[in-house]
Amino acid sequence: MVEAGRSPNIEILTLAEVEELSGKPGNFKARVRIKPRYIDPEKCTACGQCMQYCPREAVDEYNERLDFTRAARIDFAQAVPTAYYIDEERCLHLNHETCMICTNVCGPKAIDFSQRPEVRDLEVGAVVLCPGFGEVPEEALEKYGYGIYPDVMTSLEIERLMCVSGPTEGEILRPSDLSHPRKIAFLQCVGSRDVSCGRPYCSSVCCMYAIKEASMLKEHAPEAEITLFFMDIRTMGKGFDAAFERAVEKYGLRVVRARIPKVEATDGRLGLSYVTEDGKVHRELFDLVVLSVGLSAPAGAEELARRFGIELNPFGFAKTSAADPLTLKPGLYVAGAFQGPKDIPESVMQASGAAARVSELLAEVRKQDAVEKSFPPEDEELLSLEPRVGVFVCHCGVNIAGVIDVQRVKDYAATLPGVVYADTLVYSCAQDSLERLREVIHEHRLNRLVIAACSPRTHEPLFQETLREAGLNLALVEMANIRDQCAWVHADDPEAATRKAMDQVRMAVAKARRLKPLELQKVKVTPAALVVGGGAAGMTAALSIADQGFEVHLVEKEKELGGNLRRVRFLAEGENPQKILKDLIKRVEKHPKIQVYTGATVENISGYVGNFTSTLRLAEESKVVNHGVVVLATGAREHRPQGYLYGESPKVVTQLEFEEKLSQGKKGLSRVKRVVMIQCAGSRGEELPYCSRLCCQQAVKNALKFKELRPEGEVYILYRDMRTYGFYEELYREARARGVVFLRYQPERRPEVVKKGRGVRVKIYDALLKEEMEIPADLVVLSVGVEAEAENPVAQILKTPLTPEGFVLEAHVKLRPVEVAVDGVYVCGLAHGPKPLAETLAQARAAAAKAAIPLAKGYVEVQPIVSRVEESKCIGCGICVALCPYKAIELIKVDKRRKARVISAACKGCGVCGAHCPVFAITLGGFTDEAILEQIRAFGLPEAEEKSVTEEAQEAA
Amino acid sequence: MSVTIGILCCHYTNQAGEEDFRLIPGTVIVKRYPCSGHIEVVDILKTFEEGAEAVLVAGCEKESCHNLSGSSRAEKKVLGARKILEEIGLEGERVRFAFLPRLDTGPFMAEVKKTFETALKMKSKS
Repeated sequence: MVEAGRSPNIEILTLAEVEELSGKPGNFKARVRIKPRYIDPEKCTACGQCMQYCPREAVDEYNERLDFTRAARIDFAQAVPTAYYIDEERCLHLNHETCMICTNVCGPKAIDFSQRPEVRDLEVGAVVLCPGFGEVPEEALEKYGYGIYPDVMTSLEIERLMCVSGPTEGEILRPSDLSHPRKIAFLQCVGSRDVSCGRPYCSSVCCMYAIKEASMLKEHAPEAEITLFFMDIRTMGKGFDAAFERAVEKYGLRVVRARIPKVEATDGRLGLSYVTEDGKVHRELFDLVVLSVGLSAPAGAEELARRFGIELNPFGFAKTSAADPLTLKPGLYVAGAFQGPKDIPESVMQASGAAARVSELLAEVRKQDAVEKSFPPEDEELLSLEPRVGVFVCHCGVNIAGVIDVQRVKDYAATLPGVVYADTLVYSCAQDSLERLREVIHEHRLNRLVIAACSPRTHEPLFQETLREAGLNLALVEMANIRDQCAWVHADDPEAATRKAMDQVRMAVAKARRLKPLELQKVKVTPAALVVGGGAAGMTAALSIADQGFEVHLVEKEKELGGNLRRVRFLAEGENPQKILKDLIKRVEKHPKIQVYTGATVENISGYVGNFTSTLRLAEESKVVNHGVVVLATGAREHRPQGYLYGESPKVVTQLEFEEKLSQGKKGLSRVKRVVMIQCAGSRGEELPYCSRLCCQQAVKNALKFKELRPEGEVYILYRDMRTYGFYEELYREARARGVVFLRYQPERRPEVVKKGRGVRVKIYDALLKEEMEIPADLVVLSVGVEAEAENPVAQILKTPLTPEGFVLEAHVKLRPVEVAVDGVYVCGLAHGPKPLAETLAQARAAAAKAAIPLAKGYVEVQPIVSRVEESKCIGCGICVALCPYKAIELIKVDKRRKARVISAACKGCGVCGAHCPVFAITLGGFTDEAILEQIRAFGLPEAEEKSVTEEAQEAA
Repeated sequence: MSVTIGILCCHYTNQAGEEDFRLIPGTVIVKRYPCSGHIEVVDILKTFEEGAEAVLVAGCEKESCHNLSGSSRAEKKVLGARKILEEIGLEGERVRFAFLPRLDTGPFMAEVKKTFETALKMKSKS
């Protein structure tokens, strides 16, 4: 959020609505109505005086109506823009022309009641709609006692309740009597998978967030007993199954498979009745019931659809096709939950994908009107001074200040040698605090900065940029992580935590005094991309990059393009996959900027972001290409399970093989009357530990297709959890309505396929009957899941990390879902993890968007924290070359001697090389031995001695 | 001194279980019927024989009985039982009828508590 707020190329209009859109793609005119804020965000310093003095109470919508706030307010401290606003509906002046207290208390005179609604016409080339999701209507919640019994809360309310900046400062209290609840129940599928409230679809995210909230509740209140009531456990994302099981085990959560019909109150507690799988009726009392509410279409979706002339699906979400999940109509794109319920990683991916769509459309005018951020030249004179350290201690709201005595830490810091200024900040990362940092640097001529706050992993770049804006080298800041490493872990002992924070600050100051400026380098980029894999993902990514105006080399190891999609005959969305495939191939082959190499493999890739050189092995020759980025779309394959008589009996096939039979119509199925499908054959704990995400919808889709061909035929689907998430739930419902029989099996008693005479039978244990059943089958269809290729040679060459399952690991699940830890390498499609076609296509576009960033920029800025080799010391042993996980060190010949050389552009600053160098020839910028030793010495320095040193220093001065 | 109460109820009035009755500091005899219309005077009297100080008969609200007039019949049976109690010299208020919303244990438990209070009063008198 802060990053978007700081970009000079993004203008944020808050309190604004698009009233009208006219024109054509590439040249739209949008009429935007901006509601008055009554506070000038340019002048507002977010001091909070107006809110403190505002006499008018208002219900705090941000805190889910659990608390009160004022008419003049800011929803939360990190809001962008960091400026207060005045609630039109509550303000006394705007409604009754009285009060005006805020105008008098506001220091910078930012309050302006003369503001009127403003209408602006914007010229834009494309529009991306991301209105998010809406709330479940109260009627749907009422049957669970919400609004009737105070102790029935929604998951969103619990989220606020657990938040340290929430109404109870993180204490879990039940609303009726403010006591600590001992027994807590989570009810899933509230406002989803429920026809009675018009929301038959699955909201996809609730299973996972419920387990997250339950885990966090346990952290806040370890004595609470938590029970979660599921229908199906739908944790189908990458690594979600493992996370779910970990949480259940670690926090001792109880998981019950039952749907709760209603909630009733008896004597201050809440009673739940439910039927478990064995048919027994249970009744239990709880202190607090949490409703895991689903995602609805955003409020006002119809109005939005009318204004933009787009179509909605029956549930009010944006209607898109599987072939192009991001486009609503030319020039109009969609991302996030408005396209359908989805989690954060997928939303982020779609957002990047939509950005790629926009870049394709507007490729010609790229960089026109763009503003590049410039920094003032570094202040040489200031640098040459003795270290003048400024220490800032962050409250982080109550995250830090709630435990640590921030004032004492600040006072202590002021006594440390070299410190000329010390202060506290409520949120040092907020826009106004950064402004203040700049001012203080100038005022006190600081040339080293210590920020005692949170993790440098997330926030150091922000402070580095601030330093640059103030004319200082970005390497001159040091962070002391007194939040994660102190306040959070020592919440139970404030006194000791405060002392530890002092230690941390003393160490950081000691290191800061030894910090040296580092040079920023720029490296030129070859404006071409290498896409490895010619499946749906690879082709889409290649097309997108090429449409954005860059050369693409597309490498496919098979004889023809298409990958796994060649074998898919039907789509759950109803579209024809072969037509989508043909279109893609045609466009790829015709595109002047795409070079296709079929029957080719990548033999070697050398270089680093911006300057890769690859050797491709073609049928007869090998070819060398230069490119700036790599997109991995290497795909995956259908798993081949052990057991289930697969390969032994012709009557046992996989879903893709079954699909092939179905596509031949009735004649392929002449003697097939009864089909038994087995889900998770080989997945989820058998040979593959994870969920393959797409098999459930694939099974339901094929079952429906079979029913269509043979309405009198029988289909049994044996499953663990039906994971037909999102709108695929509709297919599941339809399948049940058409008479497909769904039987759940226990993971410890998986179904067996046995031969009997000439036929096969499937044995399954039924929990309700409590006995084993045998189903004679004409055809057994195994949902086998997706398996990563045993070897991913390209990933190995690039040294990209893989998950234990063999899929390519992304750099950050939420923030960088298509980027890989190695710079300039991106991933999409099945290589990243199992997913259906629509998600693959969106992700391919996301990878294309990210890959185009360095290509469009023309240069990459190298992170300054890189290794440096002192050539005179280097003995050329090559240990560092072998160890470097990023291929950032190479051996060169200097005067006939081998020497190591760091490729700065590829170096990630991990320090492995420096730690292993036998002759100490390698040092890491920002982490010199000298500075680290000084830091360790400062840790050992008793406080008394520290003080005497200061006194001496003062005397000397 | 242990106090016992009896509850004769239609299956559809509540789902109270052991955990709910734990709040009542005495013995609770629960007899569930498919419909409160099935409850006879003799069932009520038998419950007194089993040691109950007071008896609650609970049926669905008049318009929601799915056997149409089941709970109204039960109400009449309670009046009948009351008459017999008075004839043999016991207080009529020992037995009472309650129309309750379907499958809502909250109001049901409130009635159970009232019945228990009556039972306590009776016990302390005797």
